[in-house]
Amino acid sequence: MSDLLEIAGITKHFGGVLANDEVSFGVPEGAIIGLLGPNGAGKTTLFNCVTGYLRADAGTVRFAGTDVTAHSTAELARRGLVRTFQVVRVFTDLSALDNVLIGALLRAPEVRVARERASVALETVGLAARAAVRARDLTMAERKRLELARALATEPRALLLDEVMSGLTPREVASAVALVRSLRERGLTIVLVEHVLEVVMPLADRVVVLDHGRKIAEGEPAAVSRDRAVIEAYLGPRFAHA
Amino acid sequence: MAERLRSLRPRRVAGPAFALAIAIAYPFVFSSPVAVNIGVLVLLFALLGTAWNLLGGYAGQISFGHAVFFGTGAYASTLLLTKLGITPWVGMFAGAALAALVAVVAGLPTFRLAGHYFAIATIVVAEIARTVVRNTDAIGGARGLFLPILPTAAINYEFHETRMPYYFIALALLMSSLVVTVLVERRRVGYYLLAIREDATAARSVGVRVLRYKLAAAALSAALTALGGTFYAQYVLFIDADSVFPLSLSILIALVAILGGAGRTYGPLLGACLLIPLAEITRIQLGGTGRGTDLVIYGALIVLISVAQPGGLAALVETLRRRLRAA
Repeated sequence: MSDLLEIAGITKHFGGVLANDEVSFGVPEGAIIGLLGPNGAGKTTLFNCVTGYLRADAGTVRFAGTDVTAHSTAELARRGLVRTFQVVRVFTDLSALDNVLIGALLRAPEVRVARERASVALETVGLAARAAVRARDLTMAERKRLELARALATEPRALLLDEVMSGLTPREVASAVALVRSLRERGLTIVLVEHVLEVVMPLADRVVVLDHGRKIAEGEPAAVSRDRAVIEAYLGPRFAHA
Repeated sequence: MAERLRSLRPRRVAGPAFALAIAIAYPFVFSSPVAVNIGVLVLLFALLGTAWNLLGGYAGQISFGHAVFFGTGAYASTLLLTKLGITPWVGMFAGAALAALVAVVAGLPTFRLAGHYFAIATIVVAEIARTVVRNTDAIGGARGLFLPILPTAAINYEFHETRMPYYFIALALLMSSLVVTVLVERRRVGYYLLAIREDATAARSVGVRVLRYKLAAAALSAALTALGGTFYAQYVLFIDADSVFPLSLSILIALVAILGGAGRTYGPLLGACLLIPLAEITRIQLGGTGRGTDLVIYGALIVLISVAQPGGLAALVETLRRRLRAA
């Protein structure tokens, strides 16, 4: 299986802080990859570098065989690489339907078609009943779903989800996990950023762990969770002997 | 097709048709020169506010420099008329095209600025333009430009016996700007402008080419504003930098739109209907007491409306209508 997304040697400094230090990994088509690490490990910075919000100091990003390192965010979305945001970003003054419609306009030939596709995407994330509600009046969990529906409506090949589960109740997390699984069944490739291990472990085919900007582990979830470096990064060196 | 039929439902057409009937009847009912003049100014500022609304209301890029486009339209058509004898009916489109170009050239650097910084930059651009025009003798400099007095004729865009033709020209210009607004609202570009206003970062994430759409909105807004500039030149027959490029004009255009309801189709029209007669009447009544009185009244009104209903007059009307329907 060839890699749909290839991240090679991404390095990013903010002044004296090294946020990403030669991070490399590949994302096979159709896989769910978990990107883990404690707060401040550089997960969101890596997302920003990959999706064109930040320019990496060094390294390359290839998507579907093309070097897309210098591509703009909008251009990447056109190619099928779409992200969501850690701090949810919806169009607050617009209805849920219009939020998703704007995503659907990327591929739809006209507004009428986009509206139909937006309804379908809202259905997929379980928000069909809330279509007419303004985004500002939705709950946090609903807004996260709305953002996901907007991203889905662009008909992406790969989705980068930045902490879609954080801030949700356990029950909401369970349904979000089911939703992500169903997306993979439709052939989507997914990179899931989380700092909560329990969320990612049952979902991901493979996980990559960052700490202080560096990749410290990569492999199957079960193996990585026993990895000494990972336990140290999460719990501190004292627990690594346990 | 169903969509098209639905958009022509009687209820959606009734309001605008009623407003149009009032607009047509107004100069026949109130035919004194003062009343017709107020009517002309209301329509002109409704046009300018509607043009501003495309950029400021829908795309959320607040401009306090729209006088640049107004002045560009006024100067372009006037210079084409005085130097080359080209009729303002052609000159107004040349002015519109030039204003659109100015918008793109000014927009390329300034659209990289966010929020307040963009608004400040628009003031700077407009003040630079005013100073340059004022100091360029080839286009009249500080003395300004007088338009030639030509015989009353539609082709000359000059009417000396009555102001009625000007009134109906302004009405036609306003209606075209409203048609443009409705067309924009219903299309991809309209949704993308809203997305940019709401959150440009999120808009990018779903493939919106933000700069391109901001420039398109600015160009369209500038072109419509320039048509108003040509109209003003033909109406007053004298222009100078301080009458068509001033900051006070830029601010009044923005106020009309914001007070009426930015981002709503008929918001600027409502704003102009309230603000312009108020300004004119206070100016006529209190003209001798100093220039500030009308500004004090606008200020107070804007505070009142923004406290009562931040969506402007248009939102206020919507709320009232909903309550009436519920009752």
